[in-house]
Amino acid sequence: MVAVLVRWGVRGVKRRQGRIITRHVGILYLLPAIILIGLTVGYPIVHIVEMAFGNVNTFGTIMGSNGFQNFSGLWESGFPVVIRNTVIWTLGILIPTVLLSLTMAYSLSLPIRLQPFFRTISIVPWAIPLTIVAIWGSMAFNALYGQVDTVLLDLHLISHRIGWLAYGKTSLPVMILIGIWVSVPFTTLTLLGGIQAIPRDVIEASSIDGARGFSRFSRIVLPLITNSVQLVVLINLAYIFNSFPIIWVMTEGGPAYASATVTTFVYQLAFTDGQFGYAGAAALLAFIVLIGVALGYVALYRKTEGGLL
Amino acid sequence: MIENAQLSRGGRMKRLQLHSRGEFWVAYIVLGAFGLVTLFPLFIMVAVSLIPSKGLAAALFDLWPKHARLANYLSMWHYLPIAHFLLNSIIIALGSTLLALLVGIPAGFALSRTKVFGRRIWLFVFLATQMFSPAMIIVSAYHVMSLLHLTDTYFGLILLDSGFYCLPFVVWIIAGFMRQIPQELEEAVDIDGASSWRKLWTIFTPISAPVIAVAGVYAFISSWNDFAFALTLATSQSLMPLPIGVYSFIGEYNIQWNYLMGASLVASIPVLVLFLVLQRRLTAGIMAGTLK
Repeated sequence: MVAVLVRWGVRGVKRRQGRIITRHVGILYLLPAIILIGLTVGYPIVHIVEMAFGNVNTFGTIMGSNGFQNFSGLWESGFPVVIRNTVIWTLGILIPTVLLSLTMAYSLSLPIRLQPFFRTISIVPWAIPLTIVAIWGSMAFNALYGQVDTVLLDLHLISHRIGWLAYGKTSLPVMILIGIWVSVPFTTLTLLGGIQAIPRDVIEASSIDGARGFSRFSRIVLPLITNSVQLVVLINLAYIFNSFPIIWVMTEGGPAYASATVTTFVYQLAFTDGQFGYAGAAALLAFIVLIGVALGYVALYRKTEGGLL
Repeated sequence: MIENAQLSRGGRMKRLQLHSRGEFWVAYIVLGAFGLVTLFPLFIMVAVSLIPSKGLAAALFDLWPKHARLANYLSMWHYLPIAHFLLNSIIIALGSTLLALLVGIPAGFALSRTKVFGRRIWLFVFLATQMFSPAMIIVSAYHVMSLLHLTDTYFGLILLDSGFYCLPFVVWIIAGFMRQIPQELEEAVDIDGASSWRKLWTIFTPISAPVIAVAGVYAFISSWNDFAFALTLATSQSLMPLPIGVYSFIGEYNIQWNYLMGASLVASIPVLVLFLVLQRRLTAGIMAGTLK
């Protein structure tokens, strides 16, 4: 249907105007994509703004305006704890992930033995659906029979089983460890791509100058892959901040909000508590932060590649 | 590139010259440790999937079952409707991918080869949507889907997965690649008087086929891995994709972990295979579409 329209449009315009056509026809090519994204993301964001400033009942119907009451109400329903958790969650995964991935990417760039094996095993956590990882986690860290405790007991590292997921103090670190594990593959591969793009002469020249080991890594390699590092920091920032399945499957953000991040909090407010107004307000605040990340990404893109934007 | 420095015989000496012994030690320790940590969950998954249902609770305390029962991989298909969940996963992921390609190829073309109105703004919009969380979008997308009477339907899930997970990526990858196709090629066809519609499907699309394939595989994987949308929209089991289906059995009183782990492995294998086959291409594709 769309195809027919476009084709018809192309011919019609073409006959009249000759070669400028594409300028006007371009929007027809773009239109289906705009409709799809408008339906699935565009309008929902508008609706979130409406909810954020609206008086919304428990079925999600907006019953008029509510000013900033949803925002002030958020603060009384556990939002400060949630913000603290979100910062711990995001930085607690981001920083170790980048540091570990830098080491792993550099390691994989060396002429090591078993390189294909190490490369493959470094991708595996990325390839398992996050939901499945989280389901595994809720079994492996179970208070009664969790296999992680079994191993730790066998190794005499703990004296009794720990209910890891029962308290925010232990469940958040456990889930952060899982978060690091699933974030490392993408980060490592991207950084590895950056390292492999460094011309060989540079490395050889540096070794003639006596740079070796850590000093070469920090003085020669690292400055040359700054763009890749910035890229993985930005992408991971958004991914980790938005991450949902691990926490939702393993603790649902509980008990109370002890392990909730903004993302799980919004979902819980809407679909468990029926507090759509609060959910909208929290989501809107999150979107503002994320737009900042997106703008940072654009700035980086313009600086390095810049072809399209 | 820091590839093998050595050439046949004299190699070992040259390698030692280029990289210090310490670097290799660190490399083996870090990669080995990560490898062990990665193999542990897989080992546990396989071990638990082999525990016989009789005496399951007690056997969960052993790291490897005393009576491994391979037949679990047959009986699990009766305990939970894996085949049905799997079919749902395939329908939804394939549907989303095809829709995203159908809509995304012309869009990528328009954004890279024409001076369409608001080109940069649209590119930014497609990029920014990738920064949002599906778990937050669904709060209001659920409202949109219920207005359209599309909750608990394949089409509703396909629309959401396609628009949110697949389309932005597909558009950027394809626009990024098509931009690099030389102008001369297009001009050569201009002489023949081909319409831009024909140019798109007879020249640009075939040339971009490898990149489109990568974008398609990536779109398929993103939709396959969806959690938030299916969790909210698929309220009946008949619509659940495999990971959500497995998750829906966790709330039960007597969780049959052996079957759930078996099903989990089934859910992981397609993506694992796609990743391993395409690992080099996937990263190359991501790089080509976004940053170098």
